[in-house]
Amino acid sequence: VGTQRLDFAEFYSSSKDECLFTVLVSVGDQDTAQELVAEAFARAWASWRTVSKHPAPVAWVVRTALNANISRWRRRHREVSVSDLGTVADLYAVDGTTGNSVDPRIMAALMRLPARQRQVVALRLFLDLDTGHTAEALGIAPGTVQAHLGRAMSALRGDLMPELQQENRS
Amino acid sequence: MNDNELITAMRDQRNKVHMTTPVEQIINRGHAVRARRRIPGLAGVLAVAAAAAFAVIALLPASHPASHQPPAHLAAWTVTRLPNGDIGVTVREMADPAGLQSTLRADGVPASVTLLNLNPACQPYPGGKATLAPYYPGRKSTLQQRLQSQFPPLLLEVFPTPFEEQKAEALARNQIPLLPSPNGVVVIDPSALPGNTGVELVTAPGGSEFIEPEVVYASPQCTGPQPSPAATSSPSASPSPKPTISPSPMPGSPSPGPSPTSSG
Repeated sequence: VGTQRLDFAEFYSSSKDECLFTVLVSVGDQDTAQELVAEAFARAWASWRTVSKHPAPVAWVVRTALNANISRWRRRHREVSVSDLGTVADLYAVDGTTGNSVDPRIMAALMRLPARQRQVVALRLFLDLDTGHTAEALGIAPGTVQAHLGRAMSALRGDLMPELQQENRS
Repeated sequence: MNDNELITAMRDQRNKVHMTTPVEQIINRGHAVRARRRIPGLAGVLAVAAAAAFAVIALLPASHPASHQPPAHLAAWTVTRLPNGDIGVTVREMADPAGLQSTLRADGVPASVTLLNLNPACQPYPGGKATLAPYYPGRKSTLQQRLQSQFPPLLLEVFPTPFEEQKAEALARNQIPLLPSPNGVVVIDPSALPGNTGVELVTAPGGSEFIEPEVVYASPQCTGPQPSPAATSSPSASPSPKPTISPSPMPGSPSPGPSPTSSG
């Protein structure tokens, strides 16, 4: 048990921040993301013998957190709807009022993506999962992952490149 | 700026958010999650154990007053022949995997039972294992299709418990379960096993919810020698209806007679 505890502690320490950021990109609120990720890691520890054998345990944690978000919404009968996410994106764009130090322009651009595209970007680019594991974690086909990623990158390019290039020049 | 620079700029954001919850808090919460999962099973185990203990006491000769009987305690695992011929396995604590494996083999089930790690000699049989998050490349899949892939028909036939319940629950919740999570109770239908196959059970000490059943190709190294016809009629699993859980009698207490239930 002591070895397992150490293994889990190491896993938590090495992956908690990237899991948090991945879930944050999906749900748009840092406090909610913290709660969801903490719950997902707790469930991972509760089933550590199984999760530790999973080919991509971070994907397990992220998917558990996202499923917990859905369950949470079902229990509370409220969720940040698509239109509200636009509002969240505007908040990031104005001054980063959610209190974290993520670049508000990048966060706003991510928040403007459709939910599935955001999840694909989060898993592929921020969690560094390959296409197969991303498809497995989201329950979609690998080709769909590629399509979502292509569309997301196109939107992000149009949204962010002019601003970031401007910043680099000045 | 090209795509790579854009991706780098976005990836840099990962280092700007930090999970502040201490690992000890996560582990404590995990213990609570694990305990919560065990409550329904524990209640059932206690109820059946109480009934079984009562039955043992009722069968004792009159010269042994009930008040002098030592208390019954639950065995680490129990193997029982159910009325329909299925084999019920209840694992409460994985103390003796070799004993459970021998009991299953003696009951005519080619079996491999290991602690935590898969038996490297066992080869998975197609459609004999619950899979995680299946998908259908190139087309949109329905919940039914995905459940069919997650719980293949063979798996449901060979292990009606727990997988039929899990599939029904997933349908009721309209949601794919994240990972199949058997709870320590497995029912095996040996007649549903295809030719030259057996079962593999992987479990872990102290955590009955981790038992993982799957169908594998039978081989001497994996599931042992082919059971002889005589072995399948072992007295440890007679076809008469019996309680699924039996208490292990304390040393010195009289035996209630031949039991179809084997415990370890």
